[in-house]
Amino acid sequence: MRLRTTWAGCLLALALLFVGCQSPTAERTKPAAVDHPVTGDCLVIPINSDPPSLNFLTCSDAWCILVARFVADSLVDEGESLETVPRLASSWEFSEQGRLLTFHLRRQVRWHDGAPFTSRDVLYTYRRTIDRTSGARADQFQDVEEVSAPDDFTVRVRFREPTILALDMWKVPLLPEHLSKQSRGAAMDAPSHPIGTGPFRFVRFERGREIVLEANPDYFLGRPYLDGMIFRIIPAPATQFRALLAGETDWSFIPATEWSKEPATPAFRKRFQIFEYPAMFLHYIGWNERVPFFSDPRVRQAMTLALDRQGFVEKAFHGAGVAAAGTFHPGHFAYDPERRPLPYDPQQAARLLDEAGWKLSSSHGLRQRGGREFRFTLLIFQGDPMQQQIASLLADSLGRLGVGMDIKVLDFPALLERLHRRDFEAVLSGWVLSSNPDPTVNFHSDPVLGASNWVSYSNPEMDRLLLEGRHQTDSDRRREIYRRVQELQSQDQPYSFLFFPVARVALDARFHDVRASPVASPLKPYPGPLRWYVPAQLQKRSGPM
Amino acid sequence: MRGYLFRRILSVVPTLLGITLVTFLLLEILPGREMALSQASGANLPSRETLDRLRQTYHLNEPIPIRYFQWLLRLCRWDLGESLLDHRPVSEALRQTTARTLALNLLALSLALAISVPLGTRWAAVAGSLRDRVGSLLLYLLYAFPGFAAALILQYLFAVRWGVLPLQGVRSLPATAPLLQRSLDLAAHLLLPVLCLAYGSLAYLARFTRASVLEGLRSHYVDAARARGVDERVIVWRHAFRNALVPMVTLLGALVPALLGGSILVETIFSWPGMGRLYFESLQNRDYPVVLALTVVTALLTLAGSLLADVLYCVADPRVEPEQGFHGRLS
Repeated sequence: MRLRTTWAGCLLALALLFVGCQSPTAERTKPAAVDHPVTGDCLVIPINSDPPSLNFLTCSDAWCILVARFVADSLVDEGESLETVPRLASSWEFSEQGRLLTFHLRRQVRWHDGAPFTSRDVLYTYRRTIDRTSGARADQFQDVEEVSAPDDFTVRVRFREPTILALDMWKVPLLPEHLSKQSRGAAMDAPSHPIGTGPFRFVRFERGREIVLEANPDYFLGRPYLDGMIFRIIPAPATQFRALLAGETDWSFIPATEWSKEPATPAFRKRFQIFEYPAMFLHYIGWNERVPFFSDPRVRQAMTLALDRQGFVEKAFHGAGVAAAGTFHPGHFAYDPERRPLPYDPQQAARLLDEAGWKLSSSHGLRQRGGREFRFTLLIFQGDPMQQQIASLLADSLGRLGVGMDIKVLDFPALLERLHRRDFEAVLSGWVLSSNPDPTVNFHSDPVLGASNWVSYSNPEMDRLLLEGRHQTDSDRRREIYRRVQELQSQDQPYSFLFFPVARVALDARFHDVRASPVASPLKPYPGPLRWYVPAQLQKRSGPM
Repeated sequence: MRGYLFRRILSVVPTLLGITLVTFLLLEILPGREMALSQASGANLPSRETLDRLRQTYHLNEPIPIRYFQWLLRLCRWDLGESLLDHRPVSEALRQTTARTLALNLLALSLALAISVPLGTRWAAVAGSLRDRVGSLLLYLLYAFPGFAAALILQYLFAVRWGVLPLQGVRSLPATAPLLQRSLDLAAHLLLPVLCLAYGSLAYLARFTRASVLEGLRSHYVDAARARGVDERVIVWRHAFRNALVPMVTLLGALVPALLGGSILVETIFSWPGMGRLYFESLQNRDYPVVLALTVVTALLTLAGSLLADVLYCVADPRVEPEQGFHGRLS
C-alpha cells in the first residue's frame, strides 16, 4: 500500500484551492468525497507517567509496552477481532501434533540502524528472555523446549507439550542481536535509544514531557501515513481530557463524570470520533478463604448477591460498565454469553447467610455464628475514587443484611505486601486482562502456578481443567473446558466479579481510516494506526517536533 | 557576630542528622519494600534468586545502623545513589526537577509579594476603614478557595474556552526555536500555574505586612515625625514600611520549605515535572534513594533558609543581639 503520488498530488492541489476559501474555525467538517491516503500530520497521545525505562525486554508498565508496539515488531500480533495476524513472520505452520511450530520470516526487513533482520534476532530475543538474570518474564516461554534457526529466515520452535499459547507467546517485541554486546547486563542496562524494525523510529524521550517517534520510511508494509507519534506525559486524567478539548492532544479517555456534558453536544461529535469498548480490565473483590467468614461458598455468593453492580454502573458510571459473570471478557473466544452474572438479590443473600449459620439475633446488630460477629475489613488502594464508591455501596448493602464491613485504605505497595502475606480478609482490586483468557495464575491452588491466588482458592477439578485448557490445541475442546471453568467460577465465587469498565475514547475526527473494534481500543490492532491518515486540508501538525 | 554565625552553621549538622535518621527509620517501617525490589528488578514476578541478589546489591540484609552509616558516608561524597525505578543517578533527576520547582515557586512568591505588600501597607495606612475591611475579606475568600478548583477553572477558561494560554507542560516549542519565542512560550506556560500558587498566599502576606506596618505607625518615632510635619505618605512608605521589612525578611526564611514541596497539586494538574510531584511519585513507588535524597535536599535548604533569615535580620537591625534573632524582636 505505497503512496500513490500522482493521485495524492492532484488531490493536494485541489485541497489547497479549497483551503483558501474556508474560514478557520474550531469545528471541522468531514470531507464529503472519498479521499485517498496522504502522508503528513502527527498523532499526539497522552500517557499518565514516565515509563521507568524503554528497555523492551523488561517492559512491564503500560507505556513502555505501548511504545514498544510501534518501535519494534513481534513475529505475530493481534488483528481487529483479536485474531492472530502475521507481522515479522509472514507465515507459519504447526506439525508433529502441535509440538513443532515453524515460522517463515519476512525478507528484506531492516533494523532502524540499517542492519538486516534475520532469524538470529529471534533466537537472541528468546535467549535473553529465558535468562533469569535479565529481569524479563521468563515464564512466558516455559512450554518451549528448544528454539532453532535452520536458516536466516526460518525459526523452529519445539514445545514440550502442545499448547494453545504457542503463537501468543511470540507477540513480544524482538531485539536486535547485532547490538547484543552493548546490552549484556541485566535490566539495569536501559538503552537510551531503542532500536526496532517497527513502523516508527524512536527520536527522543524527554523525561517528564514526551516520547517522540517518527515514521520509518523503509517499513516493510510501507511507510505509515502519519509523520510521527508523540506520547505526551500528562499525569492528571482531567488535564488529559482538557488537553483534547484545547487541541493540544488528539486522543483522550472521556471521564465518566464528563460523559453527559460536553461529549453529548453535536459540536463535540463533529470535532471528535468516539469509540466505546469494554476495557480489558475487571474489577473484583477477593474473599480470603483462610478467614472463617469466607471459607463457605454460600457466604461468598451472598456477598455478590448483595451488591447491585448494574445499578452502580448506571448511577456512578453513566452506564460505562458491563457486569461480569467470570474472568472471561466478552471479546474472548471462550466467553460464555449464556452465563448471566449473579443478580442483585438481597433476600437470597440473607437466606444463604442463614443457611451458612450466620443468623441475626435481633433486627438490629450483626449476624453471629458461634458467638462470633460477622464483621470484616475490606482493603482498597488509595488514589481511585471509584474504589471508595464501590466500597461504600457494599458497606451500605451489607449493613442492611446484618454484616459489618470496615474499609481500610492502603497505598499500592503496602497493599501488595499484605496480599503476598495473605494478611487480609477481603480486598477490592482489579485485573488487567489479556487476549489469552487463561486464569490459572489467579485460580490454581499450586503456589507457583497460582502465584496470584491471594484468596487461597482450591478446587481440584478447577486445577485439572486449567492445566488441560493450557495444553489443549483444539479450539472447540478448549472452549468446552473454559465453559466449565466459568461455571465453577460462578458456583464457587472465590472472587466477586464486579464489572468490566467500558472505555470511552475520543479521537480527533481528522484521522481517517480508523477501524472501530467492538472489543478493543482502536490503537490496539495491527496494523491499525499504521493505516490512519489525515487528509491534506485537515492536517494540523507538521511532523514530530 | 562571626562567632554566632559559626555556631549556627555548626548546629545545622546535628539537626540534619536527626532529620535523616528519622526519615530513614520511617522508610524502614513503611511496608512495601518487596514491591520496591520488584520494581528494581524490572520484572513482573521476579524469582526468589533475583530478589535475593538485589537484596545483596542494596545491602538490605545488614542491620539498620550499618546501612544508615553507609548511606551517610555516601552522602558526604554527594553520592545520592540511583533510582530503584529507572536506575538513573538521583542527582540528575534532582537537578532538573529542583530548578523547575524553584522557578515556579519563586515566581509565585514574587507575584504574591508584589501584590500583597503594597496592598497591606495601604490598608495599614487606612486601618479600620471600609476599604481595609472589604479588601481583607476578599483576600480571605480567595484564600479559602481550593487550589485544585482554581486550577481547573483557570485551565478551562484560558486554555479550552478562550484558547489563549497553553493548558499544561513546560513548553510547546522545540529546543531549536529562537530564544525570544522560547522565552515567551515559557512565560505563557508559567502564567496559569504561578497564578494558582500565588493567590492563596495573598491573604496572609497582606495581613502580615499590614500588621508590621501598623505597629510601625503606632510607634513613637512616627508620632515625632508627624509632629515635625512630615507628609503622611512619606511616613508610611519611608519610615513604617522600611521597618516592617525586617520581620518580612524573617518570614521569607520560613517560607523556603514551601518553595520546594508545596506545589505538588499544581505540578500534577499542569503536568509540571517538578520536585513536589517527584516526591509524591517516588514515595508511592517506594523509590527509597530518591525519597531520602529529596528529604536531605529539602532539609538542607530549609536550614539554610532559616539561617539566612536570622543573619539578614541581624544585618538589618543592628540593635538586635545575634542570640535573640527572630524571637527577640517579636516577643
